[in-house]
Amino acid sequence: MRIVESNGLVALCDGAGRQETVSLALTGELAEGEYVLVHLGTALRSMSEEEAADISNAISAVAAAVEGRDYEHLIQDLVDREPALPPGLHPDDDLPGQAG
Amino acid sequence: MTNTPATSCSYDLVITQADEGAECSVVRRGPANALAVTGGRSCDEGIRLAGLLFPICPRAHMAAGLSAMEAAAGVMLSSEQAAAREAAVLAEAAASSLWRAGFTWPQLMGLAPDPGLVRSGRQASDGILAALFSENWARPGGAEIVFRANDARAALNVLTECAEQLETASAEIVSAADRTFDQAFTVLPALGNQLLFADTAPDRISAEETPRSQARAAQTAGTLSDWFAAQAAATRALTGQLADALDRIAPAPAANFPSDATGTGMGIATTARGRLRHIIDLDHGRIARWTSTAPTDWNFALNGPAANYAAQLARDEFDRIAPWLIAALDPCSPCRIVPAGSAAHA
Repeated sequence: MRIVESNGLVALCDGAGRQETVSLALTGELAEGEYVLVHLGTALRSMSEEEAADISNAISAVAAAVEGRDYEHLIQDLVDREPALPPGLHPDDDLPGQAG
Repeated sequence: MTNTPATSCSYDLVITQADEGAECSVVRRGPANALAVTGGRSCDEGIRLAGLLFPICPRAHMAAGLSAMEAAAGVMLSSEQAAAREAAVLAEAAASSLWRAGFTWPQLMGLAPDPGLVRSGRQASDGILAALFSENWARPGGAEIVFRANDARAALNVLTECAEQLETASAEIVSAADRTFDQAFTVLPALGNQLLFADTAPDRISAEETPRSQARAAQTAGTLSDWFAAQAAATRALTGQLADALDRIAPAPAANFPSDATGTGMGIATTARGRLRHIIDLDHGRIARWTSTAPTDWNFALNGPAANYAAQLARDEFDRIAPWLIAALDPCSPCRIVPAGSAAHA
């Protein structure tokens, strides 16, 4: 989901055609425009716009399949594309240390 | 309002009260099989999709899928490759366990959670994955291992310290908690004194046609104190298994995975909530059918443990205890209790 309003550790997020108030307690404060993975009202982590789009498209594909609509266009770009480690996890990056 | 990003499932426990007791059935909403969208795709594409469809615990789902594909193709991983994959999954499970016990449960109790503990655990889990493989780890047949042992063990130490902190925090939470929570937990021994975890089904037909839980006594929880102690111990145990897996890792080549494999295979992976099972049919290298059974699927199945146990609750205690029973079974999807015939149910 995309953060449309951020107020400390609470944010209004937009995604999947609806808005939701989300806790940012696990991620820390994030700015408007950033993308977060939300589970049961809590943002688990931030993510890139590309990853957010990939997840959204995959879930939309499931919804389309359930409704009997075509979904191939939503996940067609997976062909010949290799998954990659998310930013910050490449072997050349520094190992994350203990926080907080 | 809640949001479940993976498969958008939710569960209603529909309660019918009668003089002789309650009856409880389960209504599950959501796609019957989100992985159906992988049909006709290559294994690499399917694995990529599985990670996107289950972003809460992607490593476990991808690893179970990979194991199922390898079983279907008759491919055997080297012990080193298997250990590296196992370590990646265990690290995710340990971080998820910290999230549940250090964040979710205190929130449920109205107490202050410890997000720093969860963040540290997650960073360490990510660090372990980064220390195992050079690039994409989720390949059928295994991936190139570039084991940076010192980095992996440093991250393991962080996870272990987090688990130790969880034990301390749990004790503090218990001491601060309202004693009524203990009363809520005393119902669990009366219901069998077991927490239920999904386990491997004995055969495919029974798993698909009659979802049921093979309950096993994993922990005993008579009071809230026992419960938190068990959660902390489970997290520590995961870090212990992770340390063992790291000891078995060494550079090893990936196995050759045939591009035209045909067959059926099953894969199992560990998650914080229990075991996860995937079954895949391959047809000339393409995914013909892919199904998964997660712990929540078992525990909240029709006539599953949640429904059976909820129906055993005394009528005058139901409203107070049932939400905690659900929390104890720890669904990874939204779950609510709905009186039969209510507007919400209708």
